[in-house]
Amino acid sequence: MLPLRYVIGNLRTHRIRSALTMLGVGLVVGVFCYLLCFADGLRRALARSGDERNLIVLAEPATAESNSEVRQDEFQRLKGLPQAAQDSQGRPLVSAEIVVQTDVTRRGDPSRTSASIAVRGVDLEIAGLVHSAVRLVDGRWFQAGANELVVGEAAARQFNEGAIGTTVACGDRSFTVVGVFAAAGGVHESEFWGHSSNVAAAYRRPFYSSATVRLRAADAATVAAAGERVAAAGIALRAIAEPEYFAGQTQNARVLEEMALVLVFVMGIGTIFAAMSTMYAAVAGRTQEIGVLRAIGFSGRSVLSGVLLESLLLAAGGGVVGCLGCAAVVLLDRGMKDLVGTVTFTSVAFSVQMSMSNVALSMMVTAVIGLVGGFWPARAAGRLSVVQALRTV
Amino acid sequence: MTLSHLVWRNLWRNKVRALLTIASVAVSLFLFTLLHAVVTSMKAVAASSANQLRLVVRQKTTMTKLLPLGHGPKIAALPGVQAVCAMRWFGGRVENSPEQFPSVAVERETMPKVYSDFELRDEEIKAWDTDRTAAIVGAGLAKRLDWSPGQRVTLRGGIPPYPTLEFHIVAVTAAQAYPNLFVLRLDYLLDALKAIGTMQSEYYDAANFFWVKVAPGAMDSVRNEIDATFANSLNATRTELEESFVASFTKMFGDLPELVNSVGVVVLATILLVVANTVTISMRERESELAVLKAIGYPPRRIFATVLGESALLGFIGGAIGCVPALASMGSAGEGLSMPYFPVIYVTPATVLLGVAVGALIGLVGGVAPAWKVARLPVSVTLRDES
Repeated sequence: MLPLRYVIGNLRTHRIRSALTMLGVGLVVGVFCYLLCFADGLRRALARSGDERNLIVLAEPATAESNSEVRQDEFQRLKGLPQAAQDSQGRPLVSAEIVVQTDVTRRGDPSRTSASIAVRGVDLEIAGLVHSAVRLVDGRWFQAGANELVVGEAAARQFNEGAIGTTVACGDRSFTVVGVFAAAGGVHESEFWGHSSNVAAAYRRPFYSSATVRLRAADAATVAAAGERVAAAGIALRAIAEPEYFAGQTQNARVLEEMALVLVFVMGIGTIFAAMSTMYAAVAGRTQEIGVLRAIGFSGRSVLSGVLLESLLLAAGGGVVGCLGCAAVVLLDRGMKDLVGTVTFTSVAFSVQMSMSNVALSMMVTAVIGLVGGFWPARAAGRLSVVQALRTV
Repeated sequence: MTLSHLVWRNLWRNKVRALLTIASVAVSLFLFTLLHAVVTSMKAVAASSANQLRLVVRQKTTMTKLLPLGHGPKIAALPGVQAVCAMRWFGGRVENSPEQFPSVAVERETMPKVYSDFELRDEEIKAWDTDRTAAIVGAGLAKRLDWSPGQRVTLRGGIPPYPTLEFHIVAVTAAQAYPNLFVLRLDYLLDALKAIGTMQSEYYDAANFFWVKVAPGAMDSVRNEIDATFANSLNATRTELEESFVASFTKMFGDLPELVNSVGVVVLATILLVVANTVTISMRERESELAVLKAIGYPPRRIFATVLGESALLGFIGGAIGCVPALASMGSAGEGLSMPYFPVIYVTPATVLLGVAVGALIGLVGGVAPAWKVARLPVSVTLRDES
């Protein structure tokens, strides 16, 4: 093997060439890393929303809470579900909820385009136990009978209407934001919550949208039994396990991810050509030197691996630049984005965060660029005959 | 030997390097033209919606809350209003498929006037007028689901009480702004909802939007007038220009134009780096020979020009090659996302030409620094450097 110092020394001799190639790789890797983090942020928000012990019950043909209607009488029958857990007073943990929407504007958006976020009307005593991850982080809870809302942490960060004390127009009424809640990073953090009777009155809506059932146990048998029971109850309802429901809403994340892959594939090919060109030049400029190395006993394979290592290091430098660049963009951008669900038409606010797994994936792309870009030049270098190489001027 | 000949011969001295660089530039410029096509198509839709002189009226706080149909005649009576078309969200999907596509019910009488950009033929409008089950389908959706005019299709509605309705496709519209839209008649939908009859009464004669065609020059006055008319009522409205309504939608879907634009800029920066790198490497290898040229009396200006010429040529050839596949897909429509207002993507001749020009320009810019450097090198240093 050639010593590492020699390989690094080569890169340092041609500073401009190395820097330009590294930057080129860095740009591609940076874009890849950013798009991955973006798609990840959305998927993370949706994935954290599903509680294995919860079932979402919707009208049978509905595809989401936003277009579902559950009647009073249907809700009463759901409360008799034997698989439902109970609170300390023996009340069934079945939370009937109204999901409507209101328009909000993004913080720091000069064009003042609007986003549409969910307003969820709940009975806090039950809903607080059903959605066990929900807890207050600032201000206070809304009072029953008052036109008050609490806002999810993500929405509070992303939208102007999310500040405590703000008045939000909902349906025919105005609500005041009185508190901020967290929900373990899930979708509920992109919502307003208010008391169900107030939300129902503001939107003049006599029906619930959905009911969430907290099960006694999270095992598959209980989930299946509860689902069958709902389906067989003779009412047009259908139960979906929460994780499954939210997984179905990730379509937009998938589209983004596919886009990232196609983009990076095409850009990656361009970068491989560029890296290859650089490495060919590196080998060509050093033909004589390689001849000397071979003459003093380094094998063709050592030379090959040395050049390959050089190419890998070059790409790796670029990968580091790219990931750092991506991190800088994420930090400067404050990292909050929102994306609308294709079915619900409600926006989910989420934070774009760097993650080790995305950095690792990006560095893998980097390695592929370095390996493929360096392979043919390295093979050419390894195959140089000693005599010919030494004779080259 | 003319200057251009010298440039051409220089370019091919190291064939592998030239080919690799050109390939790299070509791939990147191909990507750039496609990205650019996405942005221009979205801009074309925004521009065309601005030209339609339409306002959209919806409930003040959310488009999901319904407005009574009675708002329609009141809006139509305002000065400057030419036609009003109520629109109700239907949210149709093929039975047993989870995928809901943008589908809306609109008023029969005023649709052709308000939506002149559907570009319907007279006989298609006639079929729409006479057949209650008539539907107009965007070209992208028709292609995806393999539908053609004359076909009967059955859809499940996405709004309570979720009616299942049969439609007769009377037209497939090629309008660029509506590739995924499914349009049905409002009277047909409302009758179907009433026939099931499980909802409260105000649910039936209601719409999500009123699209208002306005006389030129009256947009702002009509807009304020509409909101003033319904302010302080139970069904207060919010009226927007169609373009800002479309802009909100675009932004809700991840702000695609901005994302695409930034990626496009990154692609261009990559090309710049690649070209600059190649030219730097070539010049370094050629330093001694450039010194010889200088020694025999070549002015630095000409040396500067040969280097720039070579790098511009690299960019130009790369651009030209990269635009061939883009040319091949010219005019053909990219599959739109299943989102309202995501347009058909057309690669236009202007975009292709721009790609080639950008290639040459970037080649030129990428060559400036290395060309400047070699043109300024003193002969003595350069000749000595070789040893």
